[in-house]
Amino acid sequence: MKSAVSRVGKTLSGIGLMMLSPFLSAVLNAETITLTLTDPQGDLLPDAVVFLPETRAASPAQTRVMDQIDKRFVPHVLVARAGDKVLFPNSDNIRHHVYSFSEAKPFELKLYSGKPEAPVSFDQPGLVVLGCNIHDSMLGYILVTEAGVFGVTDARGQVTLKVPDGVDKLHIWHERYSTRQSAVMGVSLTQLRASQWRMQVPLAIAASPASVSAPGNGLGNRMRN
Amino acid sequence: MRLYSALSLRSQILALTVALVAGTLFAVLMTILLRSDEALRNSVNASIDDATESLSRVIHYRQELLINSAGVLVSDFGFKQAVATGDAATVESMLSNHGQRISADVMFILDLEGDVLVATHGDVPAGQSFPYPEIVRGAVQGQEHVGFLTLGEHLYQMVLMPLRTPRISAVAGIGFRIGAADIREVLPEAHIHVTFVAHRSDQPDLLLSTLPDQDEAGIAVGSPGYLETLLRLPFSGQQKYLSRHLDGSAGVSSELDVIISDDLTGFYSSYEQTRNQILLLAALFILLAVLGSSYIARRLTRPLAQLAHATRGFAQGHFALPAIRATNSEVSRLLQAFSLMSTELNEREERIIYHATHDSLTGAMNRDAVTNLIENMVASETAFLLIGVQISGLKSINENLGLEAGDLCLRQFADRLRDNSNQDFLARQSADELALIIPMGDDSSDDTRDMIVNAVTKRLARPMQVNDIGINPDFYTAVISYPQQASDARQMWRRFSIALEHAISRNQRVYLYEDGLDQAHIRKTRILRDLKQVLSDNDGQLKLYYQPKMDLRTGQITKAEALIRWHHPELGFIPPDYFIELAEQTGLIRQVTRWVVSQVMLDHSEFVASGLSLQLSVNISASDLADTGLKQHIHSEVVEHKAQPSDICLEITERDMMTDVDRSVELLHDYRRYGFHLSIDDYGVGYSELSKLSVMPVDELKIDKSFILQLIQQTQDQVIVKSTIAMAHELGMKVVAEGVEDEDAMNWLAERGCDFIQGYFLSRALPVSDLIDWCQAFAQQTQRPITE
Repeated sequence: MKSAVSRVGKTLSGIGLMMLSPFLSAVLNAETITLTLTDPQGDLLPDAVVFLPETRAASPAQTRVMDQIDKRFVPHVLVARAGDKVLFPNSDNIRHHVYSFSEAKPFELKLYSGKPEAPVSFDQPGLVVLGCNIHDSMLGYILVTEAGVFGVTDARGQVTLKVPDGVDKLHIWHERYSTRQSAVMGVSLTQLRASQWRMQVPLAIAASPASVSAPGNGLGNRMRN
Repeated sequence: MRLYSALSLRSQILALTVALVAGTLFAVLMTILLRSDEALRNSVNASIDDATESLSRVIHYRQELLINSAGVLVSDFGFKQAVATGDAATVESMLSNHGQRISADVMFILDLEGDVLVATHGDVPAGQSFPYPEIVRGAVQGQEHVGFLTLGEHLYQMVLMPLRTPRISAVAGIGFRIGAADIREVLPEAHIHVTFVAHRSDQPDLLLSTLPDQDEAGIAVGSPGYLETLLRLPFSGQQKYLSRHLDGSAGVSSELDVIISDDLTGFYSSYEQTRNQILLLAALFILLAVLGSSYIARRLTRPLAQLAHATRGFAQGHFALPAIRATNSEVSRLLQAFSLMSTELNEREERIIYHATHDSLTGAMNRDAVTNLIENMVASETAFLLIGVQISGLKSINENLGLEAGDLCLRQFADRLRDNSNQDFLARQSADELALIIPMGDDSSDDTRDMIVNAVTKRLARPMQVNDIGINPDFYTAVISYPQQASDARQMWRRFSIALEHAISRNQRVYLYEDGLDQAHIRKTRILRDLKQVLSDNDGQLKLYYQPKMDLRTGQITKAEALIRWHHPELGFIPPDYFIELAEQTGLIRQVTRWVVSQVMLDHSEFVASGLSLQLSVNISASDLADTGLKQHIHSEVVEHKAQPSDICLEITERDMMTDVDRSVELLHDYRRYGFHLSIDDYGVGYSELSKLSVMPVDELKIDKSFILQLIQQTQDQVIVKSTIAMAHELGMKVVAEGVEDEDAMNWLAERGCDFIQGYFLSRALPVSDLIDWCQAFAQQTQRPITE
C-alpha cells in the first residue's frame, strides 16, 4: 500500500515539477523532494503550507485569486509572496463580506457579489486569516511569505519542492498546528531526508477542522458541554 | 358458646356496636388516610415535578438569554475587530454595554491560554488564569460551555463561547450570578428549596442553598426523590425532604448537582391535622356508639332483668308480675307470655297445694294440712272446737259391701260434718277418722259446745243409704276445746287422740275430753312400760295372791284362784284390773299370763310341799286363748313341776269365750286334750247363748259376783243363780259362786247345790305362805261338820 502511494506521489511530483519549472528556473542544482505529511493520528494532512525560509523569490509580484464558492474560501489556504496581489471574486450568488483582522494585512471588502473592483495587495509577510462577516463558517488563510520555495499539501498530504543546495531549513504551517495562528514548525531537511520525506506534524488543535473553522450554524452547538 | 353465655346481652350489644363502629371507622379512616396520603403524595410529587420543571425552564430561559447574548456579542464585527486588534478599552466598554442588555453579572474575554484579558467583575480578575482550564481548552476547540460555575465566592450561570476573528482567538464569557434570593424568586412555592453541590473534589462541596443552613441542606440533598408514604408509625423517622436532581438537560455539568428539595413539614402538618381531625371524629363516633348502644341495650335488658327478678319470685311462690315497662314489642310479647305463665303457674300451684293438703275422696284437709291449720289457729289464739269422729263400722262396710261402698259412706260422713257451717274445717285424719274444726267465740260456754256437739252427732247418727242398703252409722266422737283444754297445738293433738282413743276403748259415742285424761294416759303409758320391764326382770314386784275356794259338799279347801298383785316401788299398789286391761289392750297380756302360769307352778310345788293339794286357777283372756304356744307352755311347766294337768284350772270370762264361739270351742278342746281344767268366769254378764254354752268343753261355771254379793236380799238374783246352778249341773259343769261374803249366802248356795264358793266370807286373796297357814288353820277349824 505504501509503495503504491509513493509511486503515485512521484508521478504527481513530476507533474508539479513541470508546472513549477518557470518559477524555479533560477534555481540551479536544485533537488526536487516530495514531502508527505500526516497528522498525529497518521492520517494524510492536506492544506499544510511548506516553505523554505532561506530561499528568496526571483520572479516579479503576481496577482493571485481567492475565490468564494459555496460559502467557502477556495483554496482554503493560499500562499502569496510579499508584494503579491490577491483577487477575491465571489462565485456564489449571495453576498459576502470578506475581512481580516490579521496584523499582516487587515482589510475589509464590504458586501459584494461577483468580482471586487480591485485586488488586495499583501506586502507584509505573515498570516492573514480571512473571514466573512456574514458567514461565520467561512474561514480561509493567506500565508504571505518572502521565501522563494513553498507549496501546499494536497488532499494526499503531499507537496513537492525544489530544494536548492545548501538549504536545510523547512517551515511548516497548518491551521491546527498552534492556537497561535501564525506559528510555524521548523524542520531540517536532513531530518526529513532521514525520515524519507515523511513527517507527522504535531497538531495543537486536535479537533476536526470544523471546530477550528467556525460552526455551520450559530445555535447548533449550544447544548454542548 | 360459653363465652357468649358468660357475657350479658348488654355487653354483647355494646361489643358488637363498638366493634362495628370501630371497624367501619377504621376502614373509613384507613381509606381516607390512604387516599389523602396518596393525594397528598401525588400533590407533593407533582409539586416537586412542577418546581423541577419550573426551575429547569428558568435555567433554560436564562441560558438562552446568555447564549443569545454571547452569540450576539461574538458575532459583533466591531467587537471582533476590537478583540483582534487588542483594543482593550473598546472591548471592555462593549462588554459592559452588552452585559447591561441582559443584566448579566459578569462578562469577560479570555485569551487562548485562558488568561483573562478583560472582565467586568472582580470574581474574574483580569490578568489571572481562568480557574477552569478544561473549559477554556474546550472553547478553544470551538466548544461552547453552558452551565454553572463558581467564580470567586459566587455561583454563576455561565456561557463561554469562542470568539472567532474569524479563527478562534479568544473566549467570551457571560454569566448571571446565582444568589439564594434570586433562586427564591423563581421558585413557585416557599417550601421548595434548591441546593447546588459541586463534585470537584472527593467531598461534595455545598455551593449554595436556599435552605437556612448547611445541615438542613445536607439532609435535603440526601433525601429520596419520591415520597413513598405519609403514613408512618410513631417511632419511625419522618422523611423531611423530597429531593430531585436536575438532570443534564438543564445545563448542569456532572461536576455540579442541582438539587430541588421540597420541605414536607407543611404537608405533614396538614396531613396530620386532617388525620387528627378524622381520629377525633372517630373517637367521637365510637363514644356516641358506646352511649347509644348502651342506652338501647339498657332499654332492652332492663325489662329482662326485672323479668328475671320477678321470675325468681315465682320460685318463692310470688306469682304476681310487677309492672314492667316494655321498651319494645318483643319484650312486650315476652311480658305477656310471662304474665300468662305466672297465672297458669299460680293456678297449678294452687291445685297442687290443694291436692297436697286435701284428701281427694272427701275433699277434707289431710293430716299435715290440718296440723298446720291448728298450729296457725293456736298461734293466732283463735278459740276452736275439735271434734274427732272415728267411723268404727267402716272396716266391716269395706269388707262386706266393697271399698266403693266404704268410700261412699265416708263421703257421706264428710258431707254431714261439713253441713255444719262454712267456717268449719274438715280433715281426714286416717282411713276411718275425720276431724271437724269449728272456730268458736272466745266467750262461748259449755252449753254452746254441747249444742254443737249434739247437732253434729245427731246428724251423723242418722241412717244412711249406701248402695241401696240402709246403714246405721257406727262411730265414736271425741271433743276437745282450745284454748280451754290445751295450751298448744302439740298438746291439743295428743289430748285429742287420747280422747278419741278413750271414746273407742270406753265404747262411748261421744266423749268430751276431761282434764286429767291426759295424765291418766301418761300414767298408763308408764305403767305399761314398767310392766314390760318387771316381766322381764322378774324382780319380785309382781306377786301372786291366792283366794281359796271351798267345796261346799266336803267343806274342804280344794281350789284357789291365783290373783296378780303389783306393788310398784314408786306408784305404789296398782290395781290389777287396771294394768291387766292395759296389758290386754297392748297384747302384753300373753307375757303376763305366761309369767302367772310359771309362778303358779312354782307356788303349786310349795303348796304340795306344805301338804296342800289345791287346784290353782289362772285367768286367761281371749288373747291368751289365741296364743297357740300357751297350752304347750303350761304343759311343760306342769311336767317340770311333776304336777297333774288337772291341778291347773284355766278361767276364761264368758265374754271372751262367747265373742267367737266356734273358735273358742275349738281352742278350748285343745286345752281340754292336755287335761287342763276349764272354767267359765264371770258368768251371767256376757250375754251367752245357751245353745253355745252347751257345746263349750268346760268343767266349771263361775257365777259373776254381781249376782252373789246381795243374793240374800235380791230374790231376782236368787232366781238367776238357782236356775244357773240347775242348768250347769244339767250340762255337767260344776258351779262356783264368787263374792260370797256371809254365811247366809254360803248356806243358801249350799242348799241350792252350788259346788264351790269363793269370797271374803272364806278369805281374801293371800300370799302363798299366808294361804298355807290359813288352810292349815281352816282345816283345824272344820273338824266339825259343816252342815247342821
